[in-house]
Amino acid sequence: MKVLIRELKKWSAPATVLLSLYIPPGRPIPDVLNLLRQEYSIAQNIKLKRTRDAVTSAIQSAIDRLTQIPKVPENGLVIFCGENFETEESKCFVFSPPEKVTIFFYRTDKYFHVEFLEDMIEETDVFGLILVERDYATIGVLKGTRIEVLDEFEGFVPGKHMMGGQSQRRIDRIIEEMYANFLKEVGEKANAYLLPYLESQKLKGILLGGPGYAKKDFYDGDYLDYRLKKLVLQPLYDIPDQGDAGLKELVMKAQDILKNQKYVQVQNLLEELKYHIAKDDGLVIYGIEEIRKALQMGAVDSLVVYDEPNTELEKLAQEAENYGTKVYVVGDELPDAEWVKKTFGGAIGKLRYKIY
Amino acid sequence: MSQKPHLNLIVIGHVDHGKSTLVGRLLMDRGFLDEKTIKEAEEAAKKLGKESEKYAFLLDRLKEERERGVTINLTFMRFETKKYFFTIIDAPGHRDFVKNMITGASQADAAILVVSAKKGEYEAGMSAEGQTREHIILAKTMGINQVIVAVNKMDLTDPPYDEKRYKEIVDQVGKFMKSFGFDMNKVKFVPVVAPTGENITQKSENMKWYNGPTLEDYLDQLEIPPKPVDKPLRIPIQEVYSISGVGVVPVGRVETGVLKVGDKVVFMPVGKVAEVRSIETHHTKIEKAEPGDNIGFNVRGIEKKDIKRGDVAGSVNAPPTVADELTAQIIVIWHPTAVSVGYTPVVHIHTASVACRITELTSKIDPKTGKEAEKNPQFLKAGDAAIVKMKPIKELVAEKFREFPALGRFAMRDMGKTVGVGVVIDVKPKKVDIK
Ligand SMILES: Nc1nc2c(ncn2[C@@H]2O[C@H](COP(=O)(O)OP(=O)(O)OP(=O)(O)O)[C@@H](O)[C@H]2O)c(=O)[nH]1
Ligand SMILES: [Mg+2]
Repeated sequence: MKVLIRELKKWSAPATVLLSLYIPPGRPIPDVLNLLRQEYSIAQNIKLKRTRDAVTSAIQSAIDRLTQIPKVPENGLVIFCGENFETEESKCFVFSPPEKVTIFFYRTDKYFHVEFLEDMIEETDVFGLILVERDYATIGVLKGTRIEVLDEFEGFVPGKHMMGGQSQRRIDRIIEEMYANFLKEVGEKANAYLLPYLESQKLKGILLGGPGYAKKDFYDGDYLDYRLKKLVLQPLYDIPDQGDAGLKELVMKAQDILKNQKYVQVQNLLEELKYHIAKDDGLVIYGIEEIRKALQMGAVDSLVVYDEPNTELEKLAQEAENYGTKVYVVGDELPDAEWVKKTFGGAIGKLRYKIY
Repeated sequence: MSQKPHLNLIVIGHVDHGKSTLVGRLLMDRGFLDEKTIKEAEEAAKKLGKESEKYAFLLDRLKEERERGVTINLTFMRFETKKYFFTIIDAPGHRDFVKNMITGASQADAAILVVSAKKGEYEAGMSAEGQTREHIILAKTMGINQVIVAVNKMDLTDPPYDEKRYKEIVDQVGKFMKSFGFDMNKVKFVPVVAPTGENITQKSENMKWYNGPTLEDYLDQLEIPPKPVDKPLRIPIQEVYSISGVGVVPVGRVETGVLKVGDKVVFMPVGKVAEVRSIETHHTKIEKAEPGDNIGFNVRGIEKKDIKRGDVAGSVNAPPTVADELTAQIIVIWHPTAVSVGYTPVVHIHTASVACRITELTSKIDPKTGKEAEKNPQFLKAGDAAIVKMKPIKELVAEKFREFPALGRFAMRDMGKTVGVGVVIDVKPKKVDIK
């Protein structure tokens, strides 16, 4: 599966011609075929010939494959079809994944949508993250060492500029109504993003935060699906920021709850390393050979290694694990990974005791 | 429209220290609120059993604000003294809403810092996490040099109206402001009681020991900052309205240049050109706006979804710069461990807040000499000054501080705290097609 995903990820096109289709079990094949035929006729209106040909042929091959299948298998069905613009080779991948497909998803895009497959092979727990304020919200997830922003959006709730005078009360009422509508929108989006994780039993909890009281209004107001609401962990967190930065703050503020999560562990370890470096107390080690020596002495407590397959770094991580060191392999999803790579050649460890 | 010179004034300070109350009382005493608004606020306060908060309710008009007794959004009001016409901006003091305060501060020429003298409240504001402290730093960072410190709640000191307490606060706050680079000739102190208006518009009978001017008198002593009318136009956008029948109305303060009805302006980062159909300030139509004016301007040729807070409108022939990378001089004022490459704080600059990743620590600077002390340091600690390179995570308009000061100074925040301040030395522009 991992190999297949890597292969699919290599595909990209200059136009939206790569077809991804996820069919959950129980969905009648004729329904799906109908949809594809509709999409086919819509695609015939595409102006650019090159794009039109590529899209219609992708849809046509999906239809061809699908007609040969009598019933959607137990775990559902996934189809990727498309043409590689460089080699002009067309290909279709059709398979039933190792885990249940929980959503129906169809799209033609510049790349294949493999994110749902990635979720399947990821064995880690998922935590939902929601930040909400009066006119802005962020929805995301925490998986392993990754925090992902799934959506970040603004609600058009005006501030207090236009007010004053005659119609003030009316405007106040309209503003409150817009606020409630915005919370509703946040709820709908959160449900759409997080329920699939719930259905695949990966969702272990939801962290809810934001500045001020909107988070409480959101929680109390039953805007979330009742199953998701049950997963909201208390307390609700005071978080001033939104977006990526806000989600990171949320996770770090909830570190007591999340102390077994890799993200929190790595982040704390990195902070600890910085602390020791700043103090210059000899408890930090870097350089592949230096680390190897320290490993042999049994002196390395934990190690952060930059994720670079088929290199000395990968070997080092393996060796360290054999010595019983806590090893964290980090990729570019972590802001500090760049620092580990640039400043320390990709590996930095915390020592149990001073060795020099 | 008033012919008096115009000043933007922000009211800042720790949560619950009495900012909204002070502004409400001031505006009411001077007749800048209509009967209806006053009555409505009084009734609403009564209904919620919070009669003591009726003055704050004049400004805190959102349901959420009234029920919880905190300011969340900025309120802009007009107000006049003998000498000036003011736009007064009431800012929130709650730590969760510091980003709103920064937006307000970026648009102000002067500030009233409200500090409660009540036991415990003053100390909370001046603690390491307190917003009296943080707002002082941020006001300075956003270019505010003139500050009137209103030492409030003098009726609640122990004993009431205690001169000793007042002096202690003046001394400590003054020292702190000085350490952050304020010219103390431009900082004034006055003991006040907001709900009764003492030393705000009239002298206090209870504080005979104070012989200085009232807060209102101090307002007339403020100075008008220079107006850079000759520079290319820059208006950082604070909010965008879409009004049915009217169209798109961005709101913001003119920082440099002049805007006239009929002008073509470009909005960055989208790069779309639009035509100005009308300009308004405080519900009054004007033909021309200058630096310092807070305006809403109706534009044709752009949609609401194209622009948002933090974008900048500017001259078509000298458009605002979208930054691919920034070189900045920063000072780390607070950090628990160390700042290294990869660190990604939220940068608050003019009305924008965008996370920026530090991609290079170019050099550490000796604060005494201003010279390079270390090349490419591995990390920075609290107290360090440095030149760094930063990459905005999202599109961001920024200018060199030397050319457009208001668009070139910033605060860095992380985990709900201000970790540093800085100015932009250089900008590597991102190419944007003007449509
Ligand atoms: N006794 C007394 N109470 C005051 C004084 N000033 C304000 N208060 C009270 O303090 C409380 C907070 O006042 P606000 O004006 O809402 O404070 P604020 O600074 O605007 O608060 P935020 O906007 O939420 O940061 C209210 O209950 C006021 O009535 C004062 O001088 N004396
Ligand atoms: Mg207030």
